[in-house]
Amino acid sequence: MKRIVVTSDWHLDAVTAGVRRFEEIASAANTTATKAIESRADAYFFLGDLCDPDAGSCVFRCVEVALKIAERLAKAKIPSYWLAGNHDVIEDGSGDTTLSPIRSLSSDYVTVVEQPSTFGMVFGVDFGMNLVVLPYVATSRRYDPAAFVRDSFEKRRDDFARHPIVVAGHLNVEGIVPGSETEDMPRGRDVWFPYEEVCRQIDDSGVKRAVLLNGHYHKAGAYAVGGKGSRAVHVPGSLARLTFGEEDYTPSFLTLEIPDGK
Amino acid sequence: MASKRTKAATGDRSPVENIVIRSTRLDEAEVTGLLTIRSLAEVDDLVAETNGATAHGKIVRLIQAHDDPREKLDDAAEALRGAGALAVRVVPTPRSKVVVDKPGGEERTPAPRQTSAREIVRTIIEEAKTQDRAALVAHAEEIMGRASL
Repeated sequence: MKRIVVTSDWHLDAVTAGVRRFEEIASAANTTATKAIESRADAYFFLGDLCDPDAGSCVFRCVEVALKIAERLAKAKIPSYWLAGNHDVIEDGSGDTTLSPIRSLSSDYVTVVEQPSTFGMVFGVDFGMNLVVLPYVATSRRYDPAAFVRDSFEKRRDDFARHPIVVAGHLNVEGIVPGSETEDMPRGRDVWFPYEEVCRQIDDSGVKRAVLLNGHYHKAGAYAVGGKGSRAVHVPGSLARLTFGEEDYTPSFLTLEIPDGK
Repeated sequence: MASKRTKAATGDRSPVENIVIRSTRLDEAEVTGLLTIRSLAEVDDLVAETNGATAHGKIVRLIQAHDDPREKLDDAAEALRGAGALAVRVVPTPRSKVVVDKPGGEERTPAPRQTSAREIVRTIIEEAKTQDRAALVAHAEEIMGRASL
């Protein structure tokens, strides 16, 4: 059994009705890491939106939280993947994000994903998993998510057919009703998760085990955006109720459990 | 980032081709609650019925009706703080339209804003991908003409 902890949308710089939420969210973020370490997870995914880069001096504290968690996980030999969201990008043409400082820890155990990427993850000697990552599209680093997915499947079709695949993004998902992440905390522009292309490629390539994950949305849920019975997009949701539009949300994170074997 | 407003079903965290996806809720004791109170009467009820326990430890938004006297709002906010609310923010009632008195006692409803600044900028950026500069300027001027900023 391989176990992957998935969390997203920390927004460590959040302020609600004048109350700074940093301590609460930092504590919750550490809880996810503790859970990963205690459960001896095989990987840890952060799906974007650490904090806004222009949120002031608290950005340093927010980045420090992420750095320390990445370091904790690395010491426990848990690979962590840090995916940039729409709130993370610094739109100055550099392509940098609030996650960029974590690059200083880059190793087999820490990976910052600021551009679309594909990873072949190896667990032990006989078990692999493929990871297709679709971060938010910064204006300075535009890409076509659907084309990237298509190319990734074409280039690695044999490998994709043999192992489970996780497609993880921080994009808009057609079919999910926007919540406070859009109404109260807008940033950036609409870039759509290539749901139909992903499903088509999975079906065509004979992939038997696949999971679609996406950050950005603060309300956790499994969204069957293709209709009842369709492949769901799993959203971990944020770790705190950040705005009054989120009063009834349940802050949470996900754990994927993937049985060994094919 | 706006999203298309098609409602999707939210399903269980059921197995996906024998991959199990579990959702772990954070301990409610560690998560700050948010509470919206929509009238002064609701504050009275809340304090009377639960001794304010509902507001305890929460960040509270108290919606102010346009005729609520300021001193009553202050008293209500104080009562909520006394009941253990973490913070209380008084906010005006959101209004979808505003009725303005005109000379002579006649009333009119202002035309709603047609286009937000964000929509304009987003549209211009999208147009910039495909149009030449002259066409872009013409288009920007056209939508600015329609906008009420």
